[in-house]
This record gives sequence, C-alpha cells and structure tokens, in this order.
Amino acid sequence: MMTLSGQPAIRTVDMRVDYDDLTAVHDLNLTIEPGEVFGLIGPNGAGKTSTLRVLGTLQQPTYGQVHIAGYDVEEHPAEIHRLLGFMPDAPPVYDDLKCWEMLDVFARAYFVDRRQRRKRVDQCLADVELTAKRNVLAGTLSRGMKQRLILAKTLLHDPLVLLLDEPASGLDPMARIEFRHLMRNLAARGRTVIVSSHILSELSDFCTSIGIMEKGLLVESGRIEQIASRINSHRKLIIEVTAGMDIAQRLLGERGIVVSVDAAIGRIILEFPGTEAELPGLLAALVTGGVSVKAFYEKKMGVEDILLRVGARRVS
Amino acid sequence: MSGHVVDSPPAAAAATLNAIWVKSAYARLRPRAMLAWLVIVLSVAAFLYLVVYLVTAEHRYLQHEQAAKTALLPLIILQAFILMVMGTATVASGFARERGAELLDYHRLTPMSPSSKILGFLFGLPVREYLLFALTLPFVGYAAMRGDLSPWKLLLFYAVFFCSTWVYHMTALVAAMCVKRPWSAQAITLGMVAGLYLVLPQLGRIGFTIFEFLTVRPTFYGMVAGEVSDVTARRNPFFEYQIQRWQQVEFFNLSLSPVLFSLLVEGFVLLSLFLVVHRKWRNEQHHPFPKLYAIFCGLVVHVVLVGSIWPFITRLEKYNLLYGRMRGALRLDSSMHALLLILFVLLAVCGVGGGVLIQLVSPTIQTMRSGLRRARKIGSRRLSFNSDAASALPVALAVSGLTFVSYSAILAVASHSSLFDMQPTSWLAHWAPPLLIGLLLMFVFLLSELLGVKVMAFTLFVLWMIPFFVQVILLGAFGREVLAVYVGLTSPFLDLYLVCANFVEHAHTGDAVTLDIMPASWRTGIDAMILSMLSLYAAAVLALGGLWWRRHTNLRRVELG
Repeated sequence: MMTLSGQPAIRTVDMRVDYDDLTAVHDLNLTIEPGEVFGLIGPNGAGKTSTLRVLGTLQQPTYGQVHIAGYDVEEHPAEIHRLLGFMPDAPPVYDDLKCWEMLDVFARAYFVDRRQRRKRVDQCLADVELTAKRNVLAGTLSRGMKQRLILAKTLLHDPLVLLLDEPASGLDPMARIEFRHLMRNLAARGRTVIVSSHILSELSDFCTSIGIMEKGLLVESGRIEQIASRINSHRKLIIEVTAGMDIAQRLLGERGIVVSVDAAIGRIILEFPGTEAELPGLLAALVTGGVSVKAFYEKKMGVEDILLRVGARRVS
Repeated sequence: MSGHVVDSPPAAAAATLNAIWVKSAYARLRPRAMLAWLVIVLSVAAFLYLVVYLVTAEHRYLQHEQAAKTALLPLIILQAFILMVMGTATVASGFARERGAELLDYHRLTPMSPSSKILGFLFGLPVREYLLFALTLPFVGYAAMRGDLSPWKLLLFYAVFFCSTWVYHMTALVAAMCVKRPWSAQAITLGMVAGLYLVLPQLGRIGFTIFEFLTVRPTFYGMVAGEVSDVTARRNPFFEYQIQRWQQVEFFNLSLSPVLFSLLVEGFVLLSLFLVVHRKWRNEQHHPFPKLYAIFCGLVVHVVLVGSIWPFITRLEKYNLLYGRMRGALRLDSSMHALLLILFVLLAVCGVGGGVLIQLVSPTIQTMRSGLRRARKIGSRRLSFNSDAASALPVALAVSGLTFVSYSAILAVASHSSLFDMQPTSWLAHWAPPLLIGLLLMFVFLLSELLGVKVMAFTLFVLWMIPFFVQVILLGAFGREVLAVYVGLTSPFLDLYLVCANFVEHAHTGDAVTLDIMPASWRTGIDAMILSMLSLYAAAVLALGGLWWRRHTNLRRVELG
C-alpha cells in the first residue's frame, strides 16, 4: 500500500476562484497532513464546494498552486485521480444501472485489478450496508441509499485522499453512526479526509482538524484543540454538587470566577481562567470547604462552539 | 498509486474493456428491451429486402443478381437511419443527460485518459444502434453475394459510411457539451446535423462540392450507386447525373477518388470535433479551439473552398456539367452570372464561417481578467497568444486576410480562364466585396469582445435584421429601390449582393451594357451607395476599435499594475 512519503496530503498556496465578478475563494493557503480528517465548515456561499471542486480537479483555480500528495493539480491530473476519491453534494447515480453494475463500471474505470474486481465491489457494497440491494436498479433506491452507493463508489479504489461534500446529509440515524465509524476507520488507516458539512455535531465526533470559511476566506484552521485554546483562554468547567451549593458559589466567587448556577439540578457552569495543572487544587478547595462534589469535568469545545465563537468574534 | 486493489493503468487498460462503453452496454443491452428492437429491425430489414428483391425480380423481370443489388439501396437507407439518425439522437440526449445530472464529473475524476473517455462515450452511447446495424448486415451480405457486388467497393463505402456516422456522433457530443437539457441537446444536435450535413451540402450544387463530402453521398454515388443503377437510372436522370459526377473528385487540378477525399474531409472534421470535446472535457470553460488551431481551420476551409470551385472556373467540361445543368433553374444566362453566384457564395461562406470562428475564440471580459491575474501571479506581463484569455484579434485579422486571398485567387483564375469575359475594373468595384467582409468580421470581433455574445447577438439583430425587414418591405411592397438600399445600409445581406453584382457588371461590360442583375436605379448611384456602406462600417470599426483599445489598456493597467 502506498503512503504519501512525507508530503502534505493537500497543500494550497494563494488559491483563488473567481466566477465572473464574484470571488468565491480568496487566496486560500491550506496544508493538511496525511491521516487527518479535516472538517471544512462555513455558511452557504462561503466557498467550500468551490474549494473541494478545485482540490478534486473538477475546476481550475483562477490562480494559485494546488498540490495533492505532492502532485500539482493542473500538471498531473491523472496521477491525482488515482489517489483521490470525491463525493459531491447530493450525488447523482446511474438510474438505469444496477448497484453492482455501477460499482463494476467505476472499478474498471479506476483500473481495479480484474481478479479482485468482483470481490472489491461486494466488499464496498457490504461496507455501506447495501449488499441486499446488489441487483436493484440504482434509480429505485432512496436518497440515503443512493448516497451510500456513491460513498461505496468513492471508496472503490481505496483512495489516499477523500473529498466528501455533505456526505451525511441524506443519511438516516443508523447510517450516520455507520458513517462515523467509517470515517474513524479511514483515519486509522492513514487516509486523509476533507469533509464539508453543515451538521457540526457530527464533525466533532471524527474530525481531527477544521477550517472555517466565510465569504471565500479561511478565517480559522488547524487542530480543534489548538483552535479552541487560541480563541478561548478560559476552560469551561462543569461541577455537579449534591450539597453545599452556597459554599461552592462563595468559594468560587472569592477566586473571582463568574459562575452560572442551575440550582434545581445542582450544576455549576464556570469559565476557569487557570491552567490544567490548577484544576486539582480547585477541586480540593471545594471538597475541603464542605461541598459534596458529584462530578467535576471540563467540557471540551466542539466544532459548533468554535464556529459560534469565531462568528461572534468576527461580528464584534 | 493509491491502494493495493489498483492495477497499473496501461496494463489494466489493455486487459479490460473501456469502462464507459461497459456502462452503456449494461444499461442499453438488457435482453428484454433488446428483444423488442431485435424483432422490429429484423422484420423491417427482411421486409425491405424481400419487397424490393421480389418486386424487381418478379414484376420487372430483372435478373436475380440485379434484383439483389437493387435491394441494397433500402437496406443502406435503413442502416443510415439507425446509425445516423437514431444513433446521433441517442448520443446527444445520453451525453446531455449525464452532463446535466453531473454524472460526467465522476468520469472526469477517473484515471482513464480523456481520449479513452471520449471514445467510450462515442462508441458506448449508441451501442444498441450498432447492434441493430449489425442485424441488417446479413441482408446486405446476402444481397452483395447474390448480386456479385465487389466486396472491396462495399468495404470502401462502409469505411466512409462509418466515418460520416462518427462525424455526426461527434457533432452530437459537441452539442451536448454546450447544452445541459437532454431534449434541447437532441433538438440542437439534429438541427446542427441537418444544417451541416443536409443544408450546407446543397452548396455543392453551385460548385462548392467540399460540403457534400461531409456526407456519405459522393462515395455512395461514386462507388455503389453505379452497381445498382440499372433499374433506377432509367427512371431517374438525377441519379445518373450524380453517378457521372462523383466518379472522380476534382480539386484544384487534381483528380482524386471520392473515397479518399471523403476520408480526408471527414477526418479533418472528426479531428476538429474531437479536439473540441477533448478541450471541453478537460475544462468546460475552455474555448472550443486554441487560437492557432482556429486560424488553421480558417486556412483549411479557404483552401478547400477555392480548391473545390477551381475546376468549375477553369475547365469547360466541368463548368458545363455543373452550371450548364442549372442554367434554367437559376437564370444563369451567362458565365458572368455564374461568377456572381460563385463570388457571392464564397464571400458569404467566408463571412459566416469567419464570424463563427472569431466568436468561438473570443474571450469574455472575465476570462481576460482571470488570465491577466494569473499572468501577474506568475510574474508575467503578457498573455500567451494561444491562451483563452488572449484577444481574438489575430484570428479576426487572419480570417479577414484569408478572405482577401481567396477572393483574389478566384478572380485571378477567372480572369485567365476563357470561360469568363472579364476586363479590369475600378479599384472600388474590385476590392469592395472582400473589404466589406473584412470590415464586417472586424465589426463582429469588436462587438463580441466589447459586449459579450448575448448583447452582440441582440445588437446584430437590431443592426442587420430590422433594416433587412424594412428593406424587403420597401422593395417588395413599394418598389422603393434606392431608399431600400440606404435604409438597409447596415444590413450585410443586400450589401454583399450589391458589391458582388457591381464588380461583375463592371468586369463584364464596363458601364455600357448591363447583365440585368440589379435594378437600373441602383446602377446610377451605386458607387456612392457602396462608399457609404464601407465608410459606415469603417467608421464603426474605428470607433469600436478605440473603445476596445482603451478597455484593454485599462484592464492591463488595473490587473498587471
């Protein structure tokens, strides 16, 4: 199996995409390392799909350099096509082909070894839970099933880099769970995945890094925890107490910490300005002060929180 | 290479069928649907063969060999219908459907080469039609064997037949590349096929035989029709005339086989269409041709136009074969009438063809801007000549220049030919026709780059068609001949006739005797009319040229700094 041998999986330098007088992507500089699951998020019209189409060689940038696994997209499209799997938003299927036929066609198109083709087709159908629909015309499938079929097509040639535009939008809850497992599995096998999605809670589950786009600009990018610490110096702590709520509020107030309290369920939410090493001290102070602590934990920032925080920051 | 499941492409490509062809075969060769088509085509082919064979053999007392050969004709028509009509419609709608549904993107992303993808669509989409065609072959084979028809001739005929078919199918791919909706693509393709391969070949009747070679007709008449003509020719003199006409192709002073000439012409068209699809496949925003190829296309078209008309203006027997036959139909009283027709059609074709070429390679303002931005980014201060973002000015100048050369060549040959009674004319009368076309081409080029295609088309409609309509009303209803010319001064239709007719009248007789090719009222003030129209277009070209220059300079200053 081939690896990317030290090259970034994806690297763009000053990538710009213009449509007539509109600039969809404005001088994008992005580096994604192998094995990352990168979530590309942003509102409609932010330039996500244009970015994915350029990375997928479906569209030429107005200017700028784009490298996939070290190959320039304009100079070596054929090499890139062998490495790349692309799944568009609301992917169409061949209505007049059976599921296995459609996968067989693309297995041939990707030069999947003749002896392994049938096995590979069946394996991919199984991966997306469509084995039962093997001999059904693709046009008769539901939207979610069509999406799974195209996901199977995207995985057929075992690509090193996957570009997925809203891959989970048509999936039912069970299929979404399967999809999350699949993403984690791909990451574990060293595949690089870029996922554009509106469903932010899902991205948190499997993305290792994210990029936030707005009006064609990449306003934030990097590993989720790095971005979180960059945009928020305070830790969000949750303390659940069974007794001593008043004491807890007083002790925290003495340290200058602003808290919000839900007395009915005995929960205190607070923004802790200290470091991770100071957390045991805070817990000890509460316990020795007479507070019965049931739970004491830090709430990690999710993609949703980051997006909201970045959005608020940009508005302000 | 990505995964362990993937072969190295060249080895794999050799070992496997074209994936896109396989896709069509899966979808279009399902046994249940095929069975119905099989029954229909076999029945129709059997009926056609038997009815012609039996009627000619039993009722017209022909020998069985001749009857068998005669039955070939309807079978060839059936084959042409299957591959050229049904196949072309299928290619257009199938390709447009895939493009409209964005299924083409999947194929754009596979590591197959663009050429093999195009070939996959070209031969895959009409796969059912090829199979139906194959079903008619036993009847053709039997008829050929029974009729003792030369297999070599039949083979050559089918070589050209398939070449024509592929030209039609490639035309369909080109049309479908530009239109997303399947039904629109089908209609536009059939319109294009009818225009390019049915209407345009009619120009062959007045000497521009090159257009007839876009079809299989010359090869059919030259190679096959002679064999089956015993029956038909006696009843149809046109058939006999065509057989006589297409035994050899005259091109300049050469005599070529119609098969060779057809293959050359269709090969060039096929190559050009393939280039268009290939470029559009790589990037839908690309112009159909690079600019250098557009100039090459213009050159080829001019050479074949002049080369195909050449024998008819240099050799009496060829002239008589063509123009002698149409004397009555087109009121060609003298060879100068024929010359007028030749010049008019030549310049009209040069004008329309040149305008289309310019249009195809003219960049929009956005394309120019993107190109300049890209140039700035890589540290260059200029666009390459062949770049889509570069101006189409060189192409406009080249096709205008080629029009002057072709016109001059035709006149030089005609003036040395004993067929035409020509004498020197004034500078204005001599050069007004190509000058008008040159100015019109520059006008179209400037409008196209300044306004874009849609606004240009509307502007041309207002400037050319509305005056033309008024002109027709003034001429037809009120007989206001002089007023009609001045009203329609911006419309090139009558203008072109006027400048050509003026030249022919001057070349033939000076000012004394007329050929009766224009009203007497035009003759008196014709120089003023021609000068007015040329001045009007020259002024428009200068004014638009100024605007174009200013816009270019501004754009370069803004984008390149």
